[in-house]
Amino acid sequence: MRYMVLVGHDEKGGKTMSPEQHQALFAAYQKYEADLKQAGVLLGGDPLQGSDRGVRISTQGGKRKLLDGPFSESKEIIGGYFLLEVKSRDEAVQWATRCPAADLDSWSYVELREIQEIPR
Amino acid sequence: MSARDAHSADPVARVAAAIWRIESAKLIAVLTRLLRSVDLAEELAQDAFVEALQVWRRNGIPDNPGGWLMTAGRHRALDALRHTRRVERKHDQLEREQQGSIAADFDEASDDVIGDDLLRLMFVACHPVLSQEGRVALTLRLLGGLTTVEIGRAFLVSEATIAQRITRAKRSLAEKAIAYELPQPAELRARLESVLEVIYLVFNEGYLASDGADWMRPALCEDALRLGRTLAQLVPAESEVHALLSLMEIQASRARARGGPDGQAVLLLDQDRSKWDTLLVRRGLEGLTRAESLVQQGPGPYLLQAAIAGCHARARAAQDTDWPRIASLYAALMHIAPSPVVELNRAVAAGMAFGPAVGLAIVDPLQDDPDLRDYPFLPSVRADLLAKLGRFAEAKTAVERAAALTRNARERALFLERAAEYGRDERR
Repeated sequence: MRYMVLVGHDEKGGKTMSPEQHQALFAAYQKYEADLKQAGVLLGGDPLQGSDRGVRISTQGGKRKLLDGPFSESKEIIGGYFLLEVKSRDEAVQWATRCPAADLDSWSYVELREIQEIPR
Repeated sequence: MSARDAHSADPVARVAAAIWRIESAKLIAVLTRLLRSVDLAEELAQDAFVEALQVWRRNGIPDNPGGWLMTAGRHRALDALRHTRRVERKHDQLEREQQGSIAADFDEASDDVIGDDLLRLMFVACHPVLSQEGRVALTLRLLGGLTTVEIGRAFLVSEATIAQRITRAKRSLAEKAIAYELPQPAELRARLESVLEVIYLVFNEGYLASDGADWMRPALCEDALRLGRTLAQLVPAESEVHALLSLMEIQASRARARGGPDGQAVLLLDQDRSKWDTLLVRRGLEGLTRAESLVQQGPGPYLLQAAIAGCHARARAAQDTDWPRIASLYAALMHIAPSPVVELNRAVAAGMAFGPAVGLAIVDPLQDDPDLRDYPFLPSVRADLLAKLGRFAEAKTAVERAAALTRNARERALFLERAAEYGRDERR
C-alpha cells in the first residue's frame, strides 16, 4: 500500500522561527528521512518551494484563469511530501505521526492520504 | 505478537502490531549487541512488547512508542546482564565497575550505532554457516518483523516448520559461536553476497511462485524490496547492493502487467507496457546508474542482471528492445557467473538480435545439460526458435514437453495454447 504524507503549513508560521529553530527543524526532517530510508519504506519525497513561486490554474465561467502565488488567502499550503510503501494503514499512521510537522505548533500539520491504485 | 494482531478489532493491538513492524528489527539489533545473543535479544524484545501492550492499554499509546519500547527493552537487557554478572562475579567493586561500563554501552546508541547494529544483525541472520532455509526464515523474522505464521503462509509451509527452522538456525549460531561483529574487510564481499542471496530468494519466492496456482505472492516481494532498501541505506557504497535493489524494483514494476484477464501469465514481450509501474521503473533505473557508478573491479552479477532488466525497462515497445546489448550482457554474465540458465537466456537474446538459427545453435547443446533436464523453459525457448525457423512439428513436440515439466497450472495452460498454435501452423 502506498501513502502520501503531506506536510501542510501556514506560510506565515515559518517566518516567526529563529535561525536556531529553523536549523533544529531541518535536522529533524533529515533524521525523519533517514529513519524512513533505513526502514526501507521511502519511495520518494521532496520539500516544495514557497507558494510565492507557484501558480494556480482553473477555469471560471468558461475562461482559463491563472493565479500567481503567494496564495495569501489560503491559510494552509502544502510544503512538501513523502511517498511511503507500507503494509497497513496503521503502519502509515505511525510513520505520519513521526513527521516533524506533526510536532510543531498549530501552524503546521501532517495529512496522510492513501494512493489510489488505478487499474490500467 | 501474533499475525492476528495486524487485523484485530482491538485498536491498541493493531497499532502495536504496526509499531512492532517498524521497531522490532532495531530493538532486536540493539539488544543483540548488548547481550551477544540473538535468541535472548529476541525474547527480551518480545517481553518488552508484551509489557508495552499492557501499559498502553491502560494509559494509551505514548507519543514516542519506539523510544518507549527501546527503553523497556534496554531495562530488560540491563537486568539480564546484571543478573549474569552477579552470578559470575561476587565482588561489589567489580559489580560497580561493570555497571558503569554497561551504562556507557547504553548511552552510545546513537542513530549511527543503530544502523551498524542492524547491519550486524543482517550479517548474522544471513551467516553462511546456516542453511538457506534457516537464513531466509531468520531474516524475515528478525529483520522483516514477520511472525512465524506470516512466514509459513508466505512459503506455503506450516508455522511449526518455520518455528523449527528458526530454532535450528539460532542453535547453529550459538553452537558455532558466531561472533556478532561486522565482517572484516577481506570477507565483507563474500558475506554481503550471502545477504543479497537471501533477499533475492525471498523476492523470487514471491515473484515466481512456481508452486500452485498463484502467479505471484506480492507480500514477499514487498518484504524483499524493503530489506533491499534498508541494506542500500546501510551500505551505500556497494555497487551490488544498489544493483540488486534496482533489479528487484524493475522486475516488480511489471507486476500489474504480468497477469492476463483470466489470471494467466503474460510474458515480458507481450506485456502492455503502459501497465508498468513508472515510479518503480524510474527508481530502478536510478539505482542502476548508481550501481554502475560504484563499480570497482568489473560489474558484479546483480549489476549485469539489473542492466539487462534496464534494457527492457527503457524500451517503450517490445520491438525497441536493444537485443544485441542484452546478448552481450548475458555473455558477460556467463563469464563471471556461468550457469546453463544464463546460457539459455543468452540464446533467447542472441536469437532476437541475430536470428533464430544463432539462438538455436546456443540452445541445442544445452539439451544434454543435466541441470536443465526438468527445466520447462529450455523446451519452451527451443520451441519458439524452431517455430521461427518454420519447423512447426518439432516446435510442437518441444512445447508439449515444456507443458509436461511445469508445476505452475497457469504456465501449463500457456504452453498448451502454444502447442495448439504450432499444430495449426504446421497444417497451414
